[in-house]
Formats: sequence, C-alpha cells, structure tokens
Amino acid sequence: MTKKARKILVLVVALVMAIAGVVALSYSREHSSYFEDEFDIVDSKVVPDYKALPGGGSFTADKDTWGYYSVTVSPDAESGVIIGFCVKDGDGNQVFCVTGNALKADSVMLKFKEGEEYTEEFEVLSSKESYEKYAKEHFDDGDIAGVSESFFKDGHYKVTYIVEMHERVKHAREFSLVMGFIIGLLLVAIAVTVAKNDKVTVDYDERQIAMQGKSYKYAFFAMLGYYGFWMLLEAFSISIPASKTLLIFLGIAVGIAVMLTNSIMKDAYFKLNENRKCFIGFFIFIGVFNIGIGIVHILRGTFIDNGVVTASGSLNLLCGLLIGYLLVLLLIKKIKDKRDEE
Amino acid sequence: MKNLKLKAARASFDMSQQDLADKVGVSRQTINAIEKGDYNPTINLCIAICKALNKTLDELFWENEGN
Repeated sequence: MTKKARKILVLVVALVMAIAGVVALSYSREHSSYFEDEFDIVDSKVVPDYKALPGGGSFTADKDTWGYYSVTVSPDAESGVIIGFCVKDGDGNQVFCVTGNALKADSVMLKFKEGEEYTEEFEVLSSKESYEKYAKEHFDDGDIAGVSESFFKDGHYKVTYIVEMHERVKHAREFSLVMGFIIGLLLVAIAVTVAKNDKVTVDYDERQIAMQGKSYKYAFFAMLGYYGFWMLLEAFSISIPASKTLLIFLGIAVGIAVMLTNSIMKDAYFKLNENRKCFIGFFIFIGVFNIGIGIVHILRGTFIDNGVVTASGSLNLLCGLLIGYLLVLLLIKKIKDKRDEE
Repeated sequence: MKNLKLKAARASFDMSQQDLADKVGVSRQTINAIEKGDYNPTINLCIAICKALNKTLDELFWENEGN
C-alpha cells in the first residue's frame, strides 16, 4: 500500500469515526404526544370551563437523563388565543414554561431525575388579565412580552398540540457543531490528499503568495466593515431578524467571499499544477449537499422561528451559497482567461 | 510599465508564456503580469527568467535612460 493510500485510509477511518460520534451524540429517545382540542371563548372565558387542557401528559425518567422539550401549538393559527405550556416536576416545581400565540418553542437542555414524573400542562389564556396572572405565576417578576387586546377575541377555536421530549447527551448540540467542523476539515484533507500528485511540484509561486496576502488584507477590512456596521445597527437599536450565531458567521462569510474574489480573479487560489478538476468536483458535492440540507430546513419551517432566521436552519444554506459563489467565480475566471488567450 | 524586452526575448526563443512559466516554475499569469508591468518579480525570479532566456539582468530588467 502506498503512502498516499495509507493516508487516505487513515482519513476515511477518522471521518467514519467522526460521523459515528455525531450519530451517537444525536441518539435520542423521544416521548411525544399529539392531540387536538376544540373550545369556544365567550366573554373572555373558555367554554367548556376548565383550567388545564385534557391533553396534557406526563413523562417519567427511567434514569438521570438530559433532554429538551419542543412544543408546537397550531403553527398556522391566526391571532386570537394565547396558550400557556408548563412542565412541572413531581414536587410541582416549574421546569419549563412558555406562552404565545401559535407557539413553537424549544427549551434549554434540562436534567430529568430518575423516577421523577414530569407533568405537562396547557392552559388557554383567554383574556389579558389571565395572561398577566399566568405570567406572574410562571415567570420571574412576571417578565413577559406585552400583548395587545386583539389577541383575546371571542370565537370558536380548534387547536393542535405537539409535545416532544428529546433525550440527548448533555452538550450534544455544541459537540455536534464541533464535530461538524471536524468532519468538514477531514473532507477537505481527503480531497487534498486525493488531488495531490507526488510526481509534480504543487505550490504557490511568489506572485500568488503576494496576491493571497492582499486577499487576506481585503478580507480583514471587509470583516471590519461588516462588524462595524453591525455595531452601529446595535447602537441605534436596529435589530436584524436573524440569530446572533448566524450574524457572526455571516461576517466570516463576507471575509471568505472577499478573499475568494480577489484570489480567484488574480489567479492565486489554486496552487501550480494542482488537480483543479478534483477540487471543483469536491466543491460541487459539498455545495449541493449543503444547499440540499438548507432547502430541507426551509421546507420543514425550521429556517425561520418566530420571525427570526435561525442559525441551525440557515448555516448549511449559507455555506452552500458561499461554495456556489466560489464556483461562479471560477467559471467567470475561466471564461476571462480563455478570452485573454484568444 | 510594460516589459517589452522580456516579451521580445521570449518571442525570440519561440516560447509561449506557458512554456516560460513551466521552465521557471511559476504560473502563466505570473509571466503575463510581469510582461504587462502589473507585477514586479523578486530578484530570484528575475534570475530564473534570465537563465531560462539566456540573458542578463541588465538586458531584461534594467531600464535604459530615455526608454
């Protein structure tokens, strides 16, 4: 077996192990329930009169475990009724609580104790008074977003409820993010090793190194500009409807895009004698893969949550678009070179 | 400033930019940039080009007065 083949084998084994790690981390047992309910609101009172909706369930942990609650209530509902959802432990202590119209919320990672029964309760908040009372009872200092009277309309309501408890390894999301990064690096390392030809010298020449230096400089100033602009928006309290993680990554993406533009147009992106076809094939694969995942997030409705673009639902699409931009630049450069040669 | 001396020397050997680039171990675009005056090569690359074209540094890279 050649040295190159051994290296590829080691990288592939590492990649398989990393993917297995992600699968192990995302291992989950899920307790989920789905139910529907119909009721009327007459003179700001729920008819039939009850406090907790009958569909509330319970979950008993068979061992100490970590997990998070995901609750969805009539995602397509129009305003008109506010629902409160609360999970309490066996002693009646609140574990997770949320309210909203057309609710869609995930809890933070929660620790569930062995043998403890956790009860899930829904409540219809049919008036502003009941909403504020619920807020005082369930949230610190009643700290909750204000709502207008328009949310509390009399009428007949049909509401669907989905409650899911996802069991996860503690910090699984953070680990998955790191593992995703490692998998990306391993894929790049495999592509570089496969593309490498030991018989020819593959390196940048002095002009390419100088141009790359300029590219990094431009990328640095572009990032400065982006983060400066963002800082200004924050200073003027102008919020962008996107998660902070996404906005941070967007700054990195701006830097990468500027670096790619200058490097590719100045012919300083690929090394001399580099196997470009192999890399372009790899980029197409990664780009299509990421855009595919991004489209799945859009179709599933996880791209936007409560009017805010989420990081988990948009990072793949952003990576895919960045790779698409790289491929377009390479195509433009190829056409330009061909024209110059003619 | 365009380096017409380099272009002429290369042409006298009936070499393309790619041929010269391969000979001195740089990209075709680097030779093109030197000829167009867009890039000032290091002394190492100048020497490599001179050796490849059998010329001296003065002949290829020294600017005569009035030129």
